[in-house]
Amino acid sequence: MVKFAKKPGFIVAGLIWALLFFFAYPLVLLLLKGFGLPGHLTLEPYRDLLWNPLGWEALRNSLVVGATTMLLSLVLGATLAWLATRSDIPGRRFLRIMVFLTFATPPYIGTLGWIQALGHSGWLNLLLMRAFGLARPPIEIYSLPGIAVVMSLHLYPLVFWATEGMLLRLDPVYEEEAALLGAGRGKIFFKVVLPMILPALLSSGLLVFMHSLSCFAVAAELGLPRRRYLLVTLVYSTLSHYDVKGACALSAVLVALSGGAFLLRRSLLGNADASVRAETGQARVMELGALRMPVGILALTFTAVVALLPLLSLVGTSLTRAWGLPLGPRNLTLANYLELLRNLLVARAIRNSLAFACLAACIGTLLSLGIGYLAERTRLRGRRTLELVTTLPLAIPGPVLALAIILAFIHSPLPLYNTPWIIVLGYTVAFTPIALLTVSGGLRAVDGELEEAAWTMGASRLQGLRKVLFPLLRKEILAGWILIFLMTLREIPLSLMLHTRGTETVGVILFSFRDTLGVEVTAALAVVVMVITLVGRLWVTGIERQLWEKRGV
Amino acid sequence: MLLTTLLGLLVLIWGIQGMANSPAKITVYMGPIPLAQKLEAAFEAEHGDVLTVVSGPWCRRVRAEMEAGDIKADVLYGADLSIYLLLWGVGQLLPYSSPEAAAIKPEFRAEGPFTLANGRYAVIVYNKRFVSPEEAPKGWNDLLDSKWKGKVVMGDPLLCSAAFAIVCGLVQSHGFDWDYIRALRKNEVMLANNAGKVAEVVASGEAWGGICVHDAALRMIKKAEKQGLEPVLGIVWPKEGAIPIPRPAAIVWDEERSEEDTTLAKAFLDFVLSPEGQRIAAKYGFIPVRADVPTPAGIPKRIRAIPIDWDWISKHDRILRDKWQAVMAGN
Repeated sequence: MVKFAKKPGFIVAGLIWALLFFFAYPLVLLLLKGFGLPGHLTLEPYRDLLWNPLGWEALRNSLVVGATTMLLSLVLGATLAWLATRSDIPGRRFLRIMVFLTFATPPYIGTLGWIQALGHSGWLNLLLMRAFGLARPPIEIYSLPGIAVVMSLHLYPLVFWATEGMLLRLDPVYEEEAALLGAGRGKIFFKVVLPMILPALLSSGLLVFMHSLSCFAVAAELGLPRRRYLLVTLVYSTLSHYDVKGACALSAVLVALSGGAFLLRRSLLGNADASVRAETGQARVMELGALRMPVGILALTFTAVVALLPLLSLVGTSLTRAWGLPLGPRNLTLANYLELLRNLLVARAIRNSLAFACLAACIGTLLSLGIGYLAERTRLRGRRTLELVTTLPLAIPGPVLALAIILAFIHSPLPLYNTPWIIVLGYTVAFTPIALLTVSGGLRAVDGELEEAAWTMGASRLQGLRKVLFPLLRKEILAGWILIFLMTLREIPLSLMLHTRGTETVGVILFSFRDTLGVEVTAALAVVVMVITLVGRLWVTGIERQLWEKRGV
Repeated sequence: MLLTTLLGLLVLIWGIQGMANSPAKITVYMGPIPLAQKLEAAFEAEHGDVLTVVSGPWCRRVRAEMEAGDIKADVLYGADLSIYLLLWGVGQLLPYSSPEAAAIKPEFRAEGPFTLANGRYAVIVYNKRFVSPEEAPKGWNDLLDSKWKGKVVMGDPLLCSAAFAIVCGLVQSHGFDWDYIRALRKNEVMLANNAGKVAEVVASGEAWGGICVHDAALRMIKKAEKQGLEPVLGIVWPKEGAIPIPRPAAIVWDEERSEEDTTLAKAFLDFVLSPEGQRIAAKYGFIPVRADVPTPAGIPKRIRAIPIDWDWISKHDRILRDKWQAVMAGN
């Protein structure tokens, strides 16, 4: 363990104060609001919640959807990550691209693709009805399982990326030794590999769980038609009726659920030991033999369908002349893209969003490295609380988080409201947890002895981190940065509440266009943003390669 | 490498700082974006660069600012009456009667420190690919026919204040009785995020018909017609009467605002009510409140409307929500 932890240095103190001020302070204001403070202390919002049958139903639904989504994402993400890094299936590069595309499609509009396929008049349902002579559509997408499946098909990349980094780093010696001792493949996986990737699995599982609690788009598109309410839908409902206290109380419940999950992860992690001693650079590849082709085809088809089905419907929609017309050569047009060019605000919004996304991603990644480091590598008192406080905003639905930030930063000491900085702040607070959970899983698994060895050999503290730890964590750091960037670029609720003249973002336009110019133009904008992210992703990959190859890592 | 990164970050920070425009004289909250842009341009052509326009759904934002004790808007325009009644209740609106008010049709004259700036109605829409105009429902009660079972969609009143007003209007018009809603429930009515989204759901074919705000459907129809296509959506103005959900406008009460800015805020409100402002809004399907501006094509000259009592709705918000929940409970 590192010594300087007991006497926090300048940087550490600054980090802690920044967290307290930017993360904890708005959160505390929010919790107080739920009790009617400042003002008269009241328990009414909580009493209302207790007596509202819909509240209990929503709590149950949220838990069911959250847990199912988490399990499905873990199974999908871990299996695919293993196949992509440790097996010899063909097309592993293609698989990675598909995983990226899956997460890059914004759920706000990607869900439309699933509805077009699996809705009551979706083509797949119609096909099945015709094939089997059914009177009712056999697949009900407007249901809790429907929500959980669509959510996990969108969120499994989070698990994929966290596990991928871990698997790449795993020293194959353990597996080889186990194999020498006569353990079978299954046994090697469950007894050797699984315990080592457990920290990453638990962290990313928590991430998926918390994210599914506060994700409104899928919950509303698929839950509302058949009146399946989740806590997040109820939060939006209280706000629609201008009931701020109720919204704060409900958010407190969400925060409590996530806090519980966080502590559960802690206690599960408690026994797991850091087990990665070094990196060999070349992960052990398991030959699947006769299974290679079938497993490969299955994995590739699955990832491709999951990525391309919403994406193709998005592109298709962006090319139709009018929403509701069947897609066909006669109805194709580029007019929707021209519409984007005609509106000056669109270019400005894209530029703004890119700037906000870059800055928020940089700050968020640095913060999460700092906090992750403090929490995993030092004995600083209150380090776990620090980590918890940074994680919690993930559970708070966008509009409520925006409310908290407005409450905290509309007046002195720091009146940021109606400046561009409040958007940067909002995005950073909202999405740092995602980078933190991605990075901290990795930090947990990389043995601290490695940096210490560098320090013993005379490297400065920063050198130890830069030359030893960061290269080891590069997959997670990169994933964290990209995740914040992607989430920011398509963020809607925070943007709607925090933008002002000159700081309009893509999210603001996405929302407003869907209401006025229709889904087609909105889809066109979403496609443009996706193309930009794809180009950006390739660019970042290039930089990454350059950066690490130069160092010979 | 480190230096380049730092330099890049500095440029980024400088760029973001540069986004902050010098504040204009007054701030207007109004949506949706294309309409707001047109109004802003037309108003500023005469008054110069004086408006800061914040578009998008601003109700939640105003509510948050209210909670923080500092409403940043000078003029509010759009949404529905619920937020204005809330603000009126806490004395946050500045009473102002515009000289343009004389030209306003009687059905759009309102009591209170706000003006009804556009007409908007809840109507029935249907998908022409599945339903012929002859088969289309003629009124609210036709939606209860079993041939529409599971095929009708409406906005969720819990999530959308306009949809809430529609439900309350339907309850009021049936003698304050929930039987109509109960019957809709029995007919497996589907719900959507908001009353405007209904048009999108019906056009996609996920539902055959729905209860929708007229302007959303009209915009969709106009877009198809403009390209020479047969529109997918059809609008029915219900024979019992459409449900009015007018879009108000108002000036926010602010003691610290200068006389000059208040004059400007009043001028903007006058502009919204002026023939030009009304014509711009009419292009987006909203109905002019003035008699001397023609209604958009596709809207009947005389609209039959069910009178609804917004005051009653906002006073009984909690009870009405609970009642709705109880009626809709179960699978």
